Amino acid sequence: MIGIIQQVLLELLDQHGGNELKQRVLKAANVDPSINYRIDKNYSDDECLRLINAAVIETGLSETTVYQHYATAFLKKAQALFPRFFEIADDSEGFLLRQARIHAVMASGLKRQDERQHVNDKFTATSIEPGKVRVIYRSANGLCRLYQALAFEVAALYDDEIEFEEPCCMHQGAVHCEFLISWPNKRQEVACD
Amino acid sequence: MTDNQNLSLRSVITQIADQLCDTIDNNFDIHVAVDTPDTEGQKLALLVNFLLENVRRSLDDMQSLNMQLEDKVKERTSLLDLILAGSNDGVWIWDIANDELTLSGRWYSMLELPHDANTQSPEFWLQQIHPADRGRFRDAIKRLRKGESEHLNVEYRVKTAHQGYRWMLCRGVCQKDNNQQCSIVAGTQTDISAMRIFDQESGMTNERYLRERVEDAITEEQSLFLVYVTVENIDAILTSSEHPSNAMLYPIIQERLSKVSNLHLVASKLSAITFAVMGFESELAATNLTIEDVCQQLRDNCANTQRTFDDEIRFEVAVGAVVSSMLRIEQSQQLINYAWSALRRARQLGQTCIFTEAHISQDSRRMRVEKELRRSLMKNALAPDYQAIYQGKTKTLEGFEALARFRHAELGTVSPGEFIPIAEDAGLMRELGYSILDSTIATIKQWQSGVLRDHPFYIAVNVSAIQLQDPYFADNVLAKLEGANVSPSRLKLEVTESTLVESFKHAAEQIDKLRQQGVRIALDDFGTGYSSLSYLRSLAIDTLKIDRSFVANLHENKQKSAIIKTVYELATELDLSVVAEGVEEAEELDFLNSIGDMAIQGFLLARPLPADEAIDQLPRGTY
Ligand code: HEM
Repeated sequence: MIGIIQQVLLELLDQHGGNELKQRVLKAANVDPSINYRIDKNYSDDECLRLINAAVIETGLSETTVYQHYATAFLKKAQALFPRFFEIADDSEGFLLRQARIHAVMASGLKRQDERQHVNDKFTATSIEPGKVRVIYRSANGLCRLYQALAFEVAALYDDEIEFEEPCCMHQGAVHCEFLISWPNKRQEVACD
Repeated sequence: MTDNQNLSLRSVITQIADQLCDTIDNNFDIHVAVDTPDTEGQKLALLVNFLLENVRRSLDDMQSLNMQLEDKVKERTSLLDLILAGSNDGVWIWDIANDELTLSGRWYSMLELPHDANTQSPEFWLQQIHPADRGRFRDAIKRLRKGESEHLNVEYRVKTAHQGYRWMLCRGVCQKDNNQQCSIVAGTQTDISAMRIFDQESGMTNERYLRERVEDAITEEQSLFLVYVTVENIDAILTSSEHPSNAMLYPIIQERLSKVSNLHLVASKLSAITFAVMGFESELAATNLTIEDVCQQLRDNCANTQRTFDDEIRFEVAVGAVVSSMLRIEQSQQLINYAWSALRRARQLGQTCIFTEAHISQDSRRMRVEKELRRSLMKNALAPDYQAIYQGKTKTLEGFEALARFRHAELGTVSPGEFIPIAEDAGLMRELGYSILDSTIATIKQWQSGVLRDHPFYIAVNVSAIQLQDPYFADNVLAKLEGANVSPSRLKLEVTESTLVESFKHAAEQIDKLRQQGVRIALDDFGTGYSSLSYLRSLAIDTLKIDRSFVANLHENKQKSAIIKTVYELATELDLSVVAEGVEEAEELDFLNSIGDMAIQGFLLARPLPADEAIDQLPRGTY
C-alpha cells in the first residue's frame, strides 16, 4: 500500500487525538513509532490494515465513522497535493471515472513493476451510460467501505448527489466487489432531452 | 518556504534532472528516486516516473506494433516466396533511378547462371536476350515507362549458360513516384519454352520448335536433315481400327518416327497428318546411314513391315527429305520450303523424294506457273478447249467436254498434268473450276443461238472435290445458268470417284439438287476406282464414262472387252448412257459399236480445240 493512505490516517489521528493517540495506534498496529510514510513508496498492505483496525479500536468510533472522517481528510490532502486532478474533472462522475487512473499515476512512483501492477489491478472504472459508472474492485484488502466513504465525499466536493449500490461484495463471497454509482439528477437531464 | 525546504527542493530537482540524463541514450527504463522527506519532492518524482512509464509503454507499444508489422511482412513475404516458388517464376526488380537490377535466385537458375551478384545493370539482362528479340523487349519497356501500357507483357528468348535458348514470358508493372514518373519496374519471368514448343493435342514438339531448331543449326553451321512424312491413310485407319481419334494415334506415330537405328531424331507435328523428323548429318555418318536409309526405315516403321511394333496399324506414308549440305542453304526457311517441296513430290510420285539442286529449278518453274495461273484466273483469261463427243454409230454430235487449258505468252502451253496439281496445292481449284464453268456457260449461250441453234447438245465440265464440298455449289451453278439464260439440260457435270470419296454425303446432296433442276451428271473414269459399283447404287447419275485405260487396244484384249461389255450391260440395265473415252483407233470404235449404242470421245473423231475452232471443225451432217 502506497504511503499516502497511512500518512493521512496518522495525520488524522494526530489532529484529533494528538501524538499520544497516534503512537497508541502505531503501537497497537505494531508499527515503528518513528515511521515517516512516503507517497512514493510501497508498504505492506497488512500493516495498513492493522493501522486501520487499531484506529477504529483506539478511537472507539465505528468503522463507518472512521472512514467518513478519513475520507474527508484524505480528499483534503489529495486536493492539496494534486489540485489539477480535481480541476480536470468537471464533476464527481468525471473524477470517479478517473480514480483508477489516478491510482496508476501514484503507482508510477513505485520502483518495481510487480508492485505497480498490484496497485493497478485493484480498480477498473467504466461508464455504463451518462450518469452511471460501474467500478470493479478486486483487492484482498476488502476496503469497499472505504471506497464508499470516499465516493460520497467526492460527490459532496462537487456538490453532486449520488446513489451507491454494491450488487456484489467480496465480504459476501464474491470474487470482487462491484459498485454502481449513479447520478440521479443527471439521468433525469438526459431523460428530459 | 524555509531555506532548508528550498535547499531540499533544489536537491530534489538536481537528483531528478541527473537521473533523467540517462534518457540521452534512449534509455527510458529508469526509475527516478528522491531521498527527500518533502511530499512535494516525492510528488514531482512520482509524476516524472509516471511520464517515464508512459514513454516506456509507448515505446513498447511501438515496438510490438513494429514486430507485428515485421511478422506480417515476413508472413507475406514467405507467402509470396511460396507462390513464386510454386509458379517457378523468376523475379526481377529494376530500380530506374539508380539503374540497378535485382534478380531472384530463380531468375538466375532459369538461365543456368550462378547467383553471384546482388544487383546487376539492366544491360546484363539485355545481353542475355536473343539479339533478334532485344528490340521488342526494349520497345515494351519503353511503352511501360512512358505509361503507354499499364503492364509489361513480352516474350523473348534468353541465352542459357549452355548455349541454348529458352523462351520466357516477362510480365511487370511500374511503380510511379510523386511526379508520376516510373521509378521502379518489377515483375516476373516465366519459362514458357515448353508451352511454346509442344503441340497440345499430341504432346509432340510443334512446327515452331522445328523452325527454331533448324534456325539454330543453320546459324551454327551444323549440317542437318529433315524428313517430312504425311500419313495418307489416316481416314481408313480411323474408321477401321480401335483408335477412333487422331490423338490416340499420335504416340504410335511418334514412336515410329523416332526409332531409326541409334539416331537421335526429334519428331514434330506439323499438321494432323504431317510430321517432320529432324536429325544431324554427323550422326548419319557416325551410324553409316544414308538419308535414303533413314527414309526407308521410316517408311518401314510406319507400315510396320519389319514387325518392330506390337500393334497392327499400318501407316501408308509419303516421305520427302532434304539434307542441308546437299544444297546451298542460307536461311532456315529455305530448307523448310525444300522439305515441303520434297514431300509434295513424294505424294505426287508415290515414292520417297530426296530434294536436290535439280528440284530447285523445277520449283522455280512451279512457282512461276502458280503465279501466272493466279494472274490468269484473276483476269479471267483461262479459256478451256472443247472436245466433241459423237454417237458411235450415227456419228451425230452429242456434246462436248470442256477441258482446262493454260496457254501463256511466255510459259507456252502448260499441260493440265502440270498445272492442275499446282492449282490443287495452291488452293486454286475452286476458282479454276468456276472459271471453266463460266467459260462453258458463255460458250453454250453463244452456240445455242449460233450454229448449233437447232441441235440438242451439252457441254460436260469436270467438277473437283473441293467444289462439291461447297454447300452453295449447286445454287451457284444454277444461278449462273439462269443468269445466262441457259437450260440446265445443256450442262453435264463430270464427277470422279476420287472426288466423291472426300465427303460423299455433301457431294451427293449437291448432285441431287443439280440433277433435280435438269443438270446431267456423269461418273468419270469409271472402272478405275475401287468402289464404282457402290456409287452407281447410291448416286443419281445419268452417264457412265468408261475410262480410256479400258478402251486402249480393247479389240486385242479379251479382258478389257469383257469388262466394257459388262459395264455397258449394267448401264443399259440402269438406264444410263455410256461414253467411251480415249478412242483413238478405228478398230476400237468398231468394237465399241459392236457392243451397242454409246457415245464416243477421242482423238479419232475430234481433238480438244478452242471454242471457235471446235465449232468450225465440226463435220457437216453431224449436227
Ligand atoms: C487524488 C485522489 C486520489 C489519490 C491520490 C489516491 C491515491 C491512492 C493510493 C496511492 C492508494 C494506495 C494504493 C495501493 O498501494 O494499492 C489508494 C488506495 C485506495 N484508494 Fe485512492 N486515491 C485517490 C482517490 C480515491 C477515491 C476518490 C477513491 C474512492 C472513491 C479511492 C479509493 C481507494 C481505496 C478503496 C483504496 C484502497 C485499495 C486497496 O488497497 O484495496 N481513492 N489511493
